[in-house]
Amino acid sequence: MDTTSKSAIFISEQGDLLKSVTEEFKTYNHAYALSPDQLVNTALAPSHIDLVFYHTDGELNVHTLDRVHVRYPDSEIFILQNSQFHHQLDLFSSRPWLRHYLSCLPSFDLQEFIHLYKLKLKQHRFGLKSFFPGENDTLYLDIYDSQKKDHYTETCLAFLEPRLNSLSKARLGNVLEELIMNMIWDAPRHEDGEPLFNKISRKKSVLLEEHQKGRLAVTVNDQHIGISAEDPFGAISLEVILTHLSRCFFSREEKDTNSAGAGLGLYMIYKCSEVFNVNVHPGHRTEFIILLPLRIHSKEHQRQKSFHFNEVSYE
Amino acid sequence: MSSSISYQKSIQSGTPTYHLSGVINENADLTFLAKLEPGTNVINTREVERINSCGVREWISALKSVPEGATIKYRECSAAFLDQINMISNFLGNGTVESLFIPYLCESCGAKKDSLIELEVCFSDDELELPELACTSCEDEMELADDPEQLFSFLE
Repeated sequence: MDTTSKSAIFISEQGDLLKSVTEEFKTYNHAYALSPDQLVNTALAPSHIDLVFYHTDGELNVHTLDRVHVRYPDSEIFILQNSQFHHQLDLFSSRPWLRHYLSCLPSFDLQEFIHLYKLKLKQHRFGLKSFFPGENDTLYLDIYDSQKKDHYTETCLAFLEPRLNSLSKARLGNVLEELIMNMIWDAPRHEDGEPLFNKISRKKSVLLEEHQKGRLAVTVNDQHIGISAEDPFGAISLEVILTHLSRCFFSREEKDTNSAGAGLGLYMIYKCSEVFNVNVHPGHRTEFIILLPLRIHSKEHQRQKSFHFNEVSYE
Repeated sequence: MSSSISYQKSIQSGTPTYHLSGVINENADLTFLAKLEPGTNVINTREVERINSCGVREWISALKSVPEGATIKYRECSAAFLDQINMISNFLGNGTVESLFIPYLCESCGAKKDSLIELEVCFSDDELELPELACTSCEDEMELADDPEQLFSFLE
């Protein structure tokens, strides 16, 4: 077994399902299918297991679950019971790709699962967790209502309050609000790719539908605040980002308040960040991962600011 | 919970003083800037929590309506206001900064404190001399929790 990278385990009490999953998983280096008994005897290192799917059509086997929790404390564990998804919110956090997966239920679709897991593998390499390995408390929020913009920002600030000084709090608040506004007004697209809301005034309310919702995550370690802002549109390009940034850096042009996508928000995010990372799956998903320093040191001790743009695509 | 910017006007030592509080955003009503009186007006931004990109545009646009003959002194600039001063050109309009809050950190015990700096006292002959601050918890000397070059880049 390949234990050199993050892996997923599928555990099933259903013999037939387990057999078919095992056959499929043989083609992947990072996925394993086990029965509950095999779990005890299988030597998969805890640090290598990223995802566990536990499937049962009967009563939830709490002993097996306990065994999984103890062996793989850093893994995300998703439970499918009676072909319906059961998500233990007090233990695990959700992922946007999983919301899409849920839309395939109530019947478990193996092909869809594998398809989404492949996507998850690609995304995980560049996700927020890749910047914040290990256990870090993370807050997740669905972003969909422009009238709750301040509420979203304040919730994140309150979550991190003890770790912030006045400047880092101000900067974090600014960055959060700009990312939220981007998710609500700038990112959403029609099916033909045309912008939905970015030409309307920010004073007008927007309420996103379920499939348009964005996802915000914030976390912190000793050095940085980490922010992930995902939208399900994948509409931004490197050209757009660089155009906005260069305009703000090199132009004294002032922007009309009602104009769309002026780029000032993007510039403000970039100025505050130490790491500015954008993952885009064109037409499907964008994720901004922003790292803000908890404290800015004097020049000789400052880290180099970094900018990354990654295009993620299906095979 | 933050609300869009509001202000209270008072007269202090004969000078009109506007205390701003809240968030400067797309809904900010900054029409008070068009009603500034001739001479010196003080804008106190101690309670300004956040300024988003729409708020920056509203602010800069509103500064254009400041009547001729009215000047602005910015007092007790909050961290949020200071950040925009350093990031956005023309954010001060024709005004100058009198005082600002800067963050200090005690490396020994982790205590945090914002200290009010009067520029007239700390900045002269192009030299910046920041006061020493003792931690109220452990009495060790506190350090500036940010890069002084970035904090005071608006002075350049």
